[in-house]
Amino acid sequence: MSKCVLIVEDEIILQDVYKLVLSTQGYVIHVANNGQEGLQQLKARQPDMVLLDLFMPVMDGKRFLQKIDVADYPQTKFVVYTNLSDTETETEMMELGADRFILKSSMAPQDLIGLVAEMTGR
Amino acid sequence: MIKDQDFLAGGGEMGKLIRAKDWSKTALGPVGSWPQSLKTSVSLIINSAFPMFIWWGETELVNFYNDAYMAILGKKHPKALGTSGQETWNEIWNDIGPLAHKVFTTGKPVFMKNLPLTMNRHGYDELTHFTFSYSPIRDESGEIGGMYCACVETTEEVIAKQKLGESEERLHLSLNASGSVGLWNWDIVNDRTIADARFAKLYSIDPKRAAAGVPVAEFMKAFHPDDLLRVQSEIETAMKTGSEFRSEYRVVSKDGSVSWVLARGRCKLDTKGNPIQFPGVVIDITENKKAEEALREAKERFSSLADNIQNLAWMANPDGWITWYNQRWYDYTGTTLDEMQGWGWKKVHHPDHITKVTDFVQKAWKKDEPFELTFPLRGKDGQYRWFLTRAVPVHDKDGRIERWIGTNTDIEDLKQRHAMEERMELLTEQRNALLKINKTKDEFIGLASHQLRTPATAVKQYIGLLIGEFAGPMTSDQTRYLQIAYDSNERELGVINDLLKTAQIDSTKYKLDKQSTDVVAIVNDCVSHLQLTFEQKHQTVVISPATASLLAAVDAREIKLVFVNLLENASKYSYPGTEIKISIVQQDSHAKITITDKGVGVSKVNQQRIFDKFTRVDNELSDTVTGTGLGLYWVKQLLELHKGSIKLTSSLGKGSTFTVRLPL
Repeated sequence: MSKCVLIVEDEIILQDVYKLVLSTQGYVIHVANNGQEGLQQLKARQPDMVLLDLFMPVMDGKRFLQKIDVADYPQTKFVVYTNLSDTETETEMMELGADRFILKSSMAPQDLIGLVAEMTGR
Repeated sequence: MIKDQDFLAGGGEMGKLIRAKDWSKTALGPVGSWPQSLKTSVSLIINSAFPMFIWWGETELVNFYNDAYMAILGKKHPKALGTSGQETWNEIWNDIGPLAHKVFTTGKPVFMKNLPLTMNRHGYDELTHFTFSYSPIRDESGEIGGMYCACVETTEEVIAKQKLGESEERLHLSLNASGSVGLWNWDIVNDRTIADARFAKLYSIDPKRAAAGVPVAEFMKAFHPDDLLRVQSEIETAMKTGSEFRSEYRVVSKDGSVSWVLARGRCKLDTKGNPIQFPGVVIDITENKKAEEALREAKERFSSLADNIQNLAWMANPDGWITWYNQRWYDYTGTTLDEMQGWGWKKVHHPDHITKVTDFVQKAWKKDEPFELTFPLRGKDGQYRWFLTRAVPVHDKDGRIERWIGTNTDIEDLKQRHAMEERMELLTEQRNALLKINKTKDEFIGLASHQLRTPATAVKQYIGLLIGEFAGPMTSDQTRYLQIAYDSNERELGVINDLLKTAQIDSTKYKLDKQSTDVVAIVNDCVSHLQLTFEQKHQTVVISPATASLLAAVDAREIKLVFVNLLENASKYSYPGTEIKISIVQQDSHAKITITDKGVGVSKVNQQRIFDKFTRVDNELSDTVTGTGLGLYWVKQLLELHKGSIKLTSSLGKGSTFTVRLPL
């Protein structure tokens, strides 16, 4: 059964490139444009992994993590995927239950594929 | 007639009057018919210079008197001549009539001394005193034909004596009343000092014994021990010279109470100069002394206050003429009262201010109101300091200005402090503004970096997607061009990352996440991380840790950044095939890590600025090396945040040694 990845990201061009890269690997991709949409999708799709941006309109990534209890989603890995790089934010997100804190700009497509494979246990 | 009146020859005015009088119409009849005894008696009295009169005939009492008696009669003269004595002295007849009668009846003389008589001889009653005698005159038959009187008026003497008595009594009364004046008389020859009760009492001697006289030594026993020798010496001097003795000393009474006395006297000397008597007066001046003492204390208190306060103080007449300054004024200005009194104070005022000050005070003196003024005053060192003067008019009981009193307070420090405070306030404002700007800058850099990263991330992903042939196969040229674009984008991301890192380190709210970490392990990690870098240049890294591990409280991620930077530099600025040495030792309570390369080295000048922000040092390898010039800046900042340090020793062309110290 194909692994399911939920991308929560407001930048369309990034949504597209992630979808493009990851779909080549046979993942089922769902996209949410902000935290609020992300919450609905999380409940509906029960993904194996959430790729969560922080800086988003309507509801940001931090609020998203605050709204949920990661323990309710034992099969889901939460990866904060952002261009904010201060250690304070990182610490805060890890405390909210994130599994990883990744600087977006450090990731080439191959890196992303590697990350998702690692997180989804493939 | 003339012949009959030969016995009246001479006799002054009264002789003339008697001769001129027509006696034929009187009870005596013409002069020629007068008995010889009468004639003789009249002749006798009118030629006497002592006041005398004759009354002839026991009932008629025909009156004759001499010039000396005229004054006693007053206005009764000349009518009294030939008139009855009773008629002349009707107002006192009750006093003298019986005396005259006694002479006529007994034939014995009468003598009265200072007999008071209220006479009316000048048109008013007056109390007079007379000493007189009445003596009988026997006629040819041996009977008492008349009497004569020799008298002297003693009114003045009696009154003088009475007055003397009265004043003595008054003196006595006042001495008693004051209780403070005593009299003494020292009979030196017999050493008997007779003193009155007041004197005796002061010296604690029984008044009865003092009245009888006691040796002077008994009085001296009461002298205060501290005064005894002095007073004795003063007494001796007075006894030798006969000069005035005047001495103030203390006497101690039996109950121990001390009184101050003033003794005044003069020693009487005999013709040979030997002292014989020493009379004098002593006055209890204890109250005066107390008042004097109180005054002296008050003066002392005033001057000790006035001269020791920090303010300069002064007093002036109502018109502003300065009469007094306290010591502080003289100490500060280095002047004297002669220079300063009146308007002399102008000399220590600043020439630029004196006109203003003079105008002000001249107006102020005329107003009856306190005033304040500030001005600079010259000290004795020639320096001016600012003072605040406060002046208050002092009024007498009628409300007129008696004097002005004022103080000048040194406000130089206050003034400077105010100026300083203003400067401080300005600096604080500027600092707050700078902090605000800095915060805005940090926020801007944070946001800008994020916003810049996002499009660069998109570029990276899409080019990466092409290079990875996710969108189909690429020609080798296509791949090469895209790789250049990709690398260029990577450099941009690197710059953004560096700027952001710098902003974070500079941020005042930047906090280290310190945890006990093995420094040796960190260094080894860094070397492993850069293994590929070293291999590419065929460089060997030799690590010589003296200990297997060194635990320090550090933020591992930041310390890694420190060593990665230092090791990267060591590699970058060394030639291929060289050796990089690392040593890690514990020194005092620090970990000391040295990284030594055999690279290009750093000149002395550049060593000064190598840790500054955006510093890139030009050297023969710098063209081949990329960087933002921020690495060593971070290294220094991060080590300082750890309370550590970094030091560079280097010589151009030979290599560099960076020495890091981190507290354990």
